[in-house]
Amino acid sequence: MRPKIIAFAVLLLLAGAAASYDWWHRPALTAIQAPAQMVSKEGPLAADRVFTDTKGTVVSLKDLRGRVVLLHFWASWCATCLAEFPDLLRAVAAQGGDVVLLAVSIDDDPSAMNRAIDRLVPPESEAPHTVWIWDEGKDISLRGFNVLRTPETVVIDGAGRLRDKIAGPGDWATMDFTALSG
Amino acid sequence: MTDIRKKHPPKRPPFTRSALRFLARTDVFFFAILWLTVLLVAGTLAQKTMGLYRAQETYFSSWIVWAGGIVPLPGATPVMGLIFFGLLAKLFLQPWRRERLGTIIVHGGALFLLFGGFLTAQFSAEGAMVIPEGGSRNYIAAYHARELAVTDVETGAEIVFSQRVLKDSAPLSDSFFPFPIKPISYFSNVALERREESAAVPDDLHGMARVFRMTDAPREREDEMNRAGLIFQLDGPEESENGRYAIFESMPIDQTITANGREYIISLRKKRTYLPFSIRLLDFEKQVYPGTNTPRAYRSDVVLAEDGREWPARIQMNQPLRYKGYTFYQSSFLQGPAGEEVTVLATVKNIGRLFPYIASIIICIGLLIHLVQRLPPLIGKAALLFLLCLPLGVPGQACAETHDGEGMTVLSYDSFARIPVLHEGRIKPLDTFARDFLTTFSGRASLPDMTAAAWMAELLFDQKAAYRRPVFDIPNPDVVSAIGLAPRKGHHYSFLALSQALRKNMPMLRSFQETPRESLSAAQGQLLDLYAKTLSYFEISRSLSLILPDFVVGDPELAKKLGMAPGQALTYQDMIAKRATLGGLITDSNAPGTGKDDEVLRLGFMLQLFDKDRASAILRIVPPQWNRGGEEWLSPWQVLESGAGSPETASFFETLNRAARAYRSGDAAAWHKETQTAFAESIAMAGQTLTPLRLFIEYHYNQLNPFHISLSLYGAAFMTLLVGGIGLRRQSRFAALVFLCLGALVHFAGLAARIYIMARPPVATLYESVLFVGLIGVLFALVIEWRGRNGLGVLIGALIGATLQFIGTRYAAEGDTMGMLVAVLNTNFWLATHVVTITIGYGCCLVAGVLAHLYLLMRLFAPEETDRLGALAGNILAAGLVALLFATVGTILGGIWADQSWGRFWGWDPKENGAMLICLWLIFLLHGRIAGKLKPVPFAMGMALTTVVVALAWFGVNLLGVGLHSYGFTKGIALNLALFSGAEILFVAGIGLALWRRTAGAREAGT
Repeated sequence: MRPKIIAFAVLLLLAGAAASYDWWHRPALTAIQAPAQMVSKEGPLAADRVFTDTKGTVVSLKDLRGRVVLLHFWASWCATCLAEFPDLLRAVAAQGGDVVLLAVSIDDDPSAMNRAIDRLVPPESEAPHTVWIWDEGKDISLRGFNVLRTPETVVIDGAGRLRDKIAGPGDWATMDFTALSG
Repeated sequence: MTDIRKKHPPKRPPFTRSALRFLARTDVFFFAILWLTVLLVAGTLAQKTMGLYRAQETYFSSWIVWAGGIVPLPGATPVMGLIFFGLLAKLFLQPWRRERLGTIIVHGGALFLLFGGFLTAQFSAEGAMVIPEGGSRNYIAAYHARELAVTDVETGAEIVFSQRVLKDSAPLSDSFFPFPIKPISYFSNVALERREESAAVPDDLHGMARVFRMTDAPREREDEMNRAGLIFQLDGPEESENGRYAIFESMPIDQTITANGREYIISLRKKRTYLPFSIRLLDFEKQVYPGTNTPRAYRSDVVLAEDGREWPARIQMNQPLRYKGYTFYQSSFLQGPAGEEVTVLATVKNIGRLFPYIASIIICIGLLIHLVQRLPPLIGKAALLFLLCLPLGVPGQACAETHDGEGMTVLSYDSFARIPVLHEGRIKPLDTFARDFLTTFSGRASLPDMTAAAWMAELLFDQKAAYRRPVFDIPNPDVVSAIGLAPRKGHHYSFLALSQALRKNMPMLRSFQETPRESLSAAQGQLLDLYAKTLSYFEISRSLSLILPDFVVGDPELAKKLGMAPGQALTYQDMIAKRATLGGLITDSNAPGTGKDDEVLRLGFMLQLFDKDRASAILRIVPPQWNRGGEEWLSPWQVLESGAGSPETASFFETLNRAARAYRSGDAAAWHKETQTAFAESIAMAGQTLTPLRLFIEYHYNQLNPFHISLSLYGAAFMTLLVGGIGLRRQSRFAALVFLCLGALVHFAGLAARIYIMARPPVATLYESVLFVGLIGVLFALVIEWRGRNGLGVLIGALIGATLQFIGTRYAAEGDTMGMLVAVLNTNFWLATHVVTITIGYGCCLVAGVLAHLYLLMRLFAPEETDRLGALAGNILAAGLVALLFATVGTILGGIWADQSWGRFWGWDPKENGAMLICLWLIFLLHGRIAGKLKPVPFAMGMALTTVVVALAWFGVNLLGVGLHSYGFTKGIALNLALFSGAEILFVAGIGLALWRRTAGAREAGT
């Protein structure tokens, strides 16, 4: 009878081992983890670019280091762009010079752009810290940033790094620029 | 003497003891297993017609199976009971000896397994918990059983009646509600027919009965699809409420009854089991592979609430939630009526849950001990160790990259072919992408005069040439004639010819598109596929159109107006800036006819055509931009359309533009430089989202095509043996062995490369299993050769290797062999254990089968070689035992995987039954041999037919098209399978008949 007793003992041992393993490894009630944070918020350094505004003044990205730059692509025929512009201009003005808006129009016809700017910023008022640029030949938009649609906004932080791109209208009224200024 | 007998009759054993002895007889077990095998085959085949649930009820869960509806035969339940008690009796009656230790332990494990099955069948509860997002449930609904519920609307209290009593016409009453319910008709599956509005409706009909007429509908193949219905008579205190009612499952409006001032709901529903806690669904998430609709994972975030306490928990595929004896598995999901996501949690409470786990450990240990005890005289312990270590060997590889780009005269596609692209959820080199599509279009991974990468470059950069190249393979002459194409030798047609022919037949194609696929003939279906292929072909060809220098102006005046040089080639991107100017010129232009205006119109027309390419989304060649993470790569046009463009993408497109110009001008050096730059830019953009080494290995895997090389080497081994004669010449045997070893080495390297590229075990698809089983067969055969050193192992290895590699090439010709896995398969642990083990079992079965073939042939043609025959018979037995070990453990591991994923160990799914069929067949043969019921020749005949059993379990069950193992579904193999099985059966039967006649002849001569 001895082998049978040993066999039963081994069986019992196995059953016990399996049951305790199962108990210890029960997949019970694991807390939900917060979704993973976005990968690095750092971006590559923006290449130095030189822009000429509608009045002929030359602005370079290098000169704007230390300030947040919004490279904003728009067009006079783009209803969404015109609708969000007042919010955008207010948000930039509210930062008191910490943020500069480079408003790049991809219009084919500069006079259409000028008419739109006049409507957005009537002659008696002004849009502080805003540079109006006409992208003749689509060198900045298409060849520089592959922008075909408007509005799109490239965000460059104070250190001159390309931080983000907002495709479509932005939520300018609530945007927090403080994290970008460094 | 007779007196003495009368006075002292022989002591007869008590009835129980003789019954136990009967049960313990090996031949009883032998026939029981045979009958179980028959039931398994019949039940699996029946699933094709009656569906999984009813086939299971009829054949596997039943006590009696009615053959032809009249002859009662034992069902699987009593047979399994017989086996259980037989094994139990054997365990107690037979003396336990050391040499039988392995067998005793295996039998003990089998007892555990059967007992667990009994507990599960009797005491487990299972069902589904269906919760919409934001909703909460405290019950599970059964899959099959229905019940009638009467609910008090005010208190929520309810009383239920089981489905069984609904089929009787006895009135249902209870003090809980004041109106007796008298069932009139119960429908297992109801058909609802709306009453005509003009038709008079009898006054005693109420509720839905006034709207619908209910009739019996044929039962659905899948039982869960049936909708039960009930017509009942109500006789309550409220006269106005009395009459006949009709209710059915999932009624959109509740049937309410008012009696004695209280309101009640009467509903017919799936039987509910209430839980002592509730589960609320916070969020359901379905993840797909980027760029596809293939699900990668499902996940439910829930909150479990009990007695005012709450715990958050997560339930996902292969990771269930276990609480108070209930286990919740992520089973599937639905879209609710309001578009909300609804999770389906399969729920199980099973006290027999642990038995298969324990049983598998015991059986595995027992079989190992048995093998170690039996093997020394047969194959050797080292062989066993070697086989057991197989699944563990996953090597890594590292390679260096070299380049030489100077002084080239022919275009090199080396860098171009390695540019990464996201396709079918996986990042792969452009070379693989090109091969997959070229295989789809032309049936081959290369063209007679160019590689897939060269073809892709032509398609992307030089459409004029690409559209004229005969690429589309149309083997069916009916399809060719249907669209009026002139038949070509070789059945290959250019896109240009094909698209023109299809355009002429658009009305016909549209009518096919509107017809259900199953009503179309084979040729009509192929024509629709062909149409879809031409659309994909065109879409791919337009992937890079935004950077192609296609806009040329010859007229100097016009060129000046547009600000470009005459003859200068511009891209769509360049032309965007000139669009307004061009628009003005079109408005001012005269009627067509003068050359200049024609050119203006042509440019405008071209721009419009290029605008349409914006939808092009197949060639996802641009990695995610702007540090947004994620895995969604985009096509160049998608980058522009979605606003994902960046300075990096702009530079990448410029490089591609220069590459296009170099390609068109045939400037090899510039082409090489630009494609190299494009590759480097792409790798830099992708950053950590890809492993360049993986791309490198995949590219070289494509170039070398290791499985073609190993096929040739196996073929060479076989031919060498044939030329030299098996075992006759040492040199030829040695040469064949070298070929076989080299073949196995390349085969192994190919599989290792696949493991690295896909980062998973190489057994997840039918194609991969063919490759893997081939390698196992060859390795096992090498072990036999190592022991025997007589050429036998080499012959078996070459046969199995070459045959399976050849079948593999047929599968590879169907297109992408490295597809991504659906959610439930996407688990490396179970792929590495269950699938690897079961496929090793397949491989060993094939070796045993081939050995048995050789045994039968030798028995017929060289019966005098008794020593060699004896050794061969020993090898067959050993191979059978090893095959049984792996098949059994693999099958049980599969059950455990199913238990982990869906909460049920065994579901009588065809693929599961196939695996079990192999086990039963081997158990039947081995026990028949041991019990002496099978003599060596019938045993060898049975083992030879193992190849048929394996082929049926491996490929055949997929033809049924039912069950959960949908990854293995395949078409077009039915004929091959039937031919193979027929040939095998004829071969075995023929040899059996010849041997029987010889024996009979010898017996007659003797007498």
